[in-house]
Amino acid sequence: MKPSDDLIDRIRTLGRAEVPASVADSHLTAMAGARSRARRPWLAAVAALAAVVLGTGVASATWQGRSPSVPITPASEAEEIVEEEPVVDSPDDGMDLSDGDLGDEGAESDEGDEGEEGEAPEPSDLDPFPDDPCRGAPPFAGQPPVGATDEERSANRSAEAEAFAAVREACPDDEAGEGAGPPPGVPQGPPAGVPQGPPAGVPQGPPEGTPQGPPAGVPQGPPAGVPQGPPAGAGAGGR
Amino acid sequence: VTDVASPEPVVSWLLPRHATGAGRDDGRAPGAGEVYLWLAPSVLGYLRARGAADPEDLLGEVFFQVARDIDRFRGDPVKLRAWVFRITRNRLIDDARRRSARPQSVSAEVPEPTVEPSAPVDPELLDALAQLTPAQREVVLLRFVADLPVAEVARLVRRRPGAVKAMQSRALARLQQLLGQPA
Repeated sequence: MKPSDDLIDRIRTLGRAEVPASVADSHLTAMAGARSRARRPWLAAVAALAAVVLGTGVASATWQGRSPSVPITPASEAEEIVEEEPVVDSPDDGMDLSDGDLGDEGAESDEGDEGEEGEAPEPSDLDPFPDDPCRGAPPFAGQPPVGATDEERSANRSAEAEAFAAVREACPDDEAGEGAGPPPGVPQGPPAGVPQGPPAGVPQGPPEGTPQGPPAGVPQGPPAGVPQGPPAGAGAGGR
Repeated sequence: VTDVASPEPVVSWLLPRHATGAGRDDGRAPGAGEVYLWLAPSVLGYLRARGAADPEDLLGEVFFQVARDIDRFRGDPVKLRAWVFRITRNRLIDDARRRSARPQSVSAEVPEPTVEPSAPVDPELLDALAQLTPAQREVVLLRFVADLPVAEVARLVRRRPGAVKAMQSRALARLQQLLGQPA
């Protein structure tokens, strides 16, 4: 046995220190408490997740310019509000979120836009000119016909339609023009400044920018620039 | 077996298994109370030899963290021992920082001691250890008080194993010289 072995054994003795019983008891009790807390990591995870979710909801509402001073809004509600805002064209855009009405209003607006059945639309939604008989929809549009029987209702509705037609006939053309004329896209005649002639695609003569004079090989062609108006189907530049 | 409040029954079978490096029969990691019974004496001796101001209090902090994190530990008994002593070293460093940052004030009220102060073990050896360089003292304590292999000591002190062996050899020679033992 080397002398260093004795020294090493002496040093090892330091590691066999006796822990006082009262100290060990207090340590073991504290460790038991720490262990019970450490065995519930799901609680800490749930708390952390809730903090993140709630923080996200408040941050979203704040980012949209809403008042963040409301009681903490659940994230699901906040997301609904944010998603429905762009389609709500409401003068109440700056209203407080605390009453929770905005999200519901937005939802109703969406339903009306999609033609939800079962609700009669308000007249103001259909007729932008309710006070002008010459413009907009008939006043009886959207209203049920009056009458006790089907025949009466039919007769009353016919009378209303005839009266409305008579009123519309008396309207000035410029006001009634928007809806009285032919539909857009129907040809009404050549616009001003457009020379009359055969339909497009039929050769007429030298195109614009071509040197004047009869085309080569056609000695008696009409003078350039003079509208000829040949009958449809006639050869261009011919007699 | 895992009842922390009454740890005595586990002592008889726990220590031999850990001493031989074998795992538990059921494959389950040891509980914090078992680790305390196994390692608290060496941790306390290490803290005293390092000159901790309140070794019993630091011992409690170390094993509080062990109890908190033991479920996440994976490894054999050697790794477990190394892990506990890594925590011990960190708590010791934290304690030294706290004490250096906090000015010592003299209070007229002396609190009642909750535990009886433990008698120093081999004060002559502790004095000799105190005269080593900090690195030499750390290597000697981790090798023979914490009972860690050279590789684990090298990992803890962030030196090569060869450097740890050389440092250990010089430290033992210095201690023999200080203690008046023949080299």
